[in-house]
This record gives sequence, structure tokens and C-alpha cells, in this order.
Amino acid sequence: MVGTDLAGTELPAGEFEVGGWKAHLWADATRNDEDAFRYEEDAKAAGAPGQLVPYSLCHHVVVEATDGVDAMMNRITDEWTDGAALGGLRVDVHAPIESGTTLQVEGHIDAVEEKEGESGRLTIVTHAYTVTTADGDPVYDLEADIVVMGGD
Amino acid sequence: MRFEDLTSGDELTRTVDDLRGEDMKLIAALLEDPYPPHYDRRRADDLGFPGLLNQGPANLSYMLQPIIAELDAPTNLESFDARFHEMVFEDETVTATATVHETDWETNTVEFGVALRKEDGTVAVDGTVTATFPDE
Repeated sequence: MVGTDLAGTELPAGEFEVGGWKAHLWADATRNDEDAFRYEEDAKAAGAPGQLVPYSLCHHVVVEATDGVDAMMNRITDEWTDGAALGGLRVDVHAPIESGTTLQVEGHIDAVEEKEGESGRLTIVTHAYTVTTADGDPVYDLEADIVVMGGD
Repeated sequence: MRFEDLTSGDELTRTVDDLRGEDMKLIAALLEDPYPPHYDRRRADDLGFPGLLNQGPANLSYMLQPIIAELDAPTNLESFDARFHEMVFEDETVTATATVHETDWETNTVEFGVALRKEDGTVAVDGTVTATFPDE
């Protein structure tokens, strides 16, 4: 069961760095043809300072910086393996994500909403994050809706 | 692709054929996601799934790719939102479509409506993406 009093909960601030190897393998595993995600020289040719990280890893960054998937889900409910999914993402990009760059992440649970879905009751837990460089320069802002199925 | 090449209604597409279970296992490892249906076929079968379950961020990646491929640089993506509607499984084929909704001649920004569809037309993910394109 998900507590509606979770709204306003501050998440543990943390940091995370996506290594060049992970950006490369992510591009391979998602069959992304853009080689700026694999090679520094291709990224530089596109005007970036170094190998880039695909924006599709943006949620991974914030989750890992704030203690990982298990901690995020157990914060919501200890019954999450019965059914939970990423329901939505909203991202405003301020700067490229560069591999090997330490990213600082702060976040909180913004809202908890209970709904009746087509397959029964579900709860939507919205997390909001800000991501900056170690110098405080903004990289992106992200909101993520985690959908938890079932419950009382 | 140049800004002036894009007008309302234009479509960019990308099809990813036969999603591979081995890729899904690698994706689960990269994301450090312990949810078993992403890497364990027995658990996926227990849940009535036809195969391994793909990760939402991987589906997001497919949906962004037709736009990323046409940008001068991947860094020209400005914002995006995605709503995840249906699960995607191994061996399925998905097609991402990005349709130009609006163009802003002052900022060279283009807003796309985006969707990732399965072969039967089911929309797995949809949303919007904004990106900037050069004049020349």
C-alpha cells in the first residue's frame, strides 16, 4: 500500500557519473546509430566537448544518484514487485550530459495520486529532480511518474 | 537537416526490428534494475508475458532516435515528455514516428509529436519533443 503522505518527502541528495563504457553499451543495446554516444572524436565533430550520454539515460542517472531502484521503490511500497512501472517522464534539457562528468542530483516526491485504471486501482508517485554539474551549472530537470499497481 | 526543411505534418520514422532478449538483459544490467521479467524468462512466463519485458528508457531511446538522427548535434534536443502506455517484449518490432507539430522561426525550434507503435498499431509510448535545427 502506498502512503499518500509521501508527497513532499526529500530524497537523499547524491551524485552519479555515467562512464563512457556505459554510454557506448547503452547505444549498442538500444540500437542507436549516433556515434557521438560511443566515441569522443564523433562527439567533438558534433561540437560537444567529449563523448555524450544519451538523454534516454536521464532517469537512470537520477535514480542511481538517489540510492538506486530498490531504494526508490521500497520508499514507495515494499510490495512493488507485484507490479510497478515507469508511467511518464518530463525533461527540460539545459546542457549536454557528458560521459565521465560527475552530476549532482537533488529530488523530492512531488505528488501521490490514486486512480482507478482499466486493470484496477493504481497509484502514481511523481518524483521531481534537478541535475547540475559539480559547479552548480544546470544540466536538466526531470519529473518521473512511477505507477504502482494494486493496493487496498 | 535544416530548419527550413521541416514543415507542419512532416514525419521522421525509425523502425527497430525484432527486439533482442540479449539486449534486454544487457539493458537490465546497465540500469541495475533487479525486476526479474527484464532478464528472467521463467519469471516473465509466470506473469503471462510472451517474452522478456523491455525497459521504459529503452523504448524512450527508440522514440527519440528519428529526431536525434536528423539533428546537427545530439545536444540540440531541448525538451521531451513521454507517456508509457503499453509493455514491449522481445521479438516485437517497433516503429517510432515523429510528426512536426510547430515550427518557431525566431528560435529555430521544432516541436514534434512522437509515438512508438507496435506492428499491430498499438501505441506503446507517446509524447512530445522539442529540438533546434540550424538555418543552413
